[in-house]
Amino acid sequence: MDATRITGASLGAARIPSGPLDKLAAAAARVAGDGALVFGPARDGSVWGWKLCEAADVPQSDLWERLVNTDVSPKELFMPRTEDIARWRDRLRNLSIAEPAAPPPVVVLGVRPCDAASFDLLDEVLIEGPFSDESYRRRRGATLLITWACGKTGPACACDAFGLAPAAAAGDLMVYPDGNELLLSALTPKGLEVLGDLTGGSTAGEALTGRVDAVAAALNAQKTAVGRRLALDDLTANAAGLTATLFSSDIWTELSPRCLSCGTCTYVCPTCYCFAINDEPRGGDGRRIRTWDSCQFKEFLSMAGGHNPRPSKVERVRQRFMHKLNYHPERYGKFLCVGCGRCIVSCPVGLHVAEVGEALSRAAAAAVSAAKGGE
Amino acid sequence: METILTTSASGAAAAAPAPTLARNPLVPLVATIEKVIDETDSGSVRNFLVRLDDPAAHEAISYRPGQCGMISVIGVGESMIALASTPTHKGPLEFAVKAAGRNTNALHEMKAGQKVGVRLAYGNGFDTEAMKGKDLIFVGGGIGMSGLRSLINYCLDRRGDFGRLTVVYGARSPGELCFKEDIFENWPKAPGIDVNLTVDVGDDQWKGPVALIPPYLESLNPSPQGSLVVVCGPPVMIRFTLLSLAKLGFTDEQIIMTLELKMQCGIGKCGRCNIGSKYVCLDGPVFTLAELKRLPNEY
Repeated sequence: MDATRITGASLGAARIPSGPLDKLAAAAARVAGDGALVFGPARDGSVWGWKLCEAADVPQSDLWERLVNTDVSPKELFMPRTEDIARWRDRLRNLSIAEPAAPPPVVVLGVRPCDAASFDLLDEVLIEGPFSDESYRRRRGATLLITWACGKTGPACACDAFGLAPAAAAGDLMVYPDGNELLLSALTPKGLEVLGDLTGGSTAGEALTGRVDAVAAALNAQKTAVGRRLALDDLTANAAGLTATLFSSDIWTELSPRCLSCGTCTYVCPTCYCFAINDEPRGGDGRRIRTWDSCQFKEFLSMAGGHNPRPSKVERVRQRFMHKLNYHPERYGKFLCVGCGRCIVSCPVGLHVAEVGEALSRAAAAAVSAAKGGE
Repeated sequence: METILTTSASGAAAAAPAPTLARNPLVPLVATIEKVIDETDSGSVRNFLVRLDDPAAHEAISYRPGQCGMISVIGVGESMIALASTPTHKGPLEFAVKAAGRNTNALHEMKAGQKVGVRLAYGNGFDTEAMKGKDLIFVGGGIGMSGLRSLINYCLDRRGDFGRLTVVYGARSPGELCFKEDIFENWPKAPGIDVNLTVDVGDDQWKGPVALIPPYLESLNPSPQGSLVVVCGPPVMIRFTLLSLAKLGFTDEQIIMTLELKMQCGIGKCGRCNIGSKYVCLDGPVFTLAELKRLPNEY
């Protein structure tokens, strides 16, 4: 993993007291642009997710001391659960098709470093390549991202197993808790503008960036419980035939019977991006929408004519974990997982990425030693 | 805006891309059906000749043989279909469609003059550069001739680039052979092309061979020397044709195939059509048999 992903390169720093964050949110909104919306963690029933904050209900900084992370990932701010691709009129006589308006600028206040890293992974899939997912790209481009370093890790956290760390630098502006104060560090020119707006342009000295580095280093030294037992080196060796070895491994028939095909893991996952496209006609008018979808659903790959290449849970469970731990690394050189731990917490049958990663690592190691023995 | 520190911005993480309004590739363009051709006696395959309503956009269309387009009955759905037309003819786009699911059945109800949504061009297409100077053997079954027809017409329009062309095409019955004008009139008259047609079951007028494609192909005994073979057709035909080709001495690198898998976005984003680390909509649908054998067997 690129070291700059963890340490970042501070363009400037400032120190603000802990407590209300409305001034920070307002400064960020001004920099983000006219009509900017501010989103922050909020509880809906028993579920922590992301909600539009009015100026009065911007969370206070103690929220990030209490909350390890939201239950639902912030990916929906860039990739809504449902959104229009296009609207059409008069489909039978004089068809016209229009795209939705450009999204408003958005400030995301306080994503965790693992989630911020997930956006980088999604960018590679959705923006880069021969085509760009324009809807996602527009939302990403219109966003000012404030990342909040983790003062503690949760029982399901595993960022360090995936080349990240509790204070891995990402986004436009990093927030580091430092005693009764917050250290702000700008990683992009946009982030620097927020600091300028917030402090009225007063200069912060080299001493402060030195303090940022020291606090970040201390936070990054935290090791997670899951990460400690998860050694994925055998999966990154990229040995010839690794895909075939893991694909045909017995672990899929052993693990998959427990799976309920509920798809929760894919919905809470910050790096799962699969979507479906459907039409909603209303008379002659209507809209084409995209919605989150899940490779865990039987219908996901069921084709006109009835053929389904992944007819049982064995293939579908295999697809999810192989995609994250083998196919994606093969294509992009990185695991499609940031170790946020949401699937570990939310899977009703405890079928989680750490357990599967360990099993895969063992299978890979066994194949390598078998190959060596045969030489 | 004043800066707090004068650190160079060059060390910053790459800024998120600007929110310019590039065209969203998922939004279809409005197109008009110019003509519908019933390709088969049973009505199972119809060829839709369509033109984008924006003349400049239609003129700007560029694709390779073997690439696909999305054709949509707006309000119903979208289907990824191999283009049957060739980029060497500046005419309408041709989508030869078998009624199989919701959208393709709805499309079969459409008439000339009606509107559809179209977006393209997707997939890798055939590597016509690698085909240059080679003898090419095209083995098609039923609707599988669709993408092959694009390639064959392309080769005929660039005749000097390729060696001998051999078409082996079969269908269940004479009435189920598609692109009749090409296979009975245009191609047999073209220079340096052998057209070999076969049917599973003949009828009163049929004078040609009555044989399944694999044994018929074996009886033609094509030489693997300096050849490439392109195979498109239903799974069962593919399975036995591959056995025949191996018997004839063709290597896995010489055998070119096209894959079908469920697709929705067509642009490598929706996560549906992966086989291992490959996406059929981006990295396919054209693969050599050698490439396919390196992928997980899950399609």
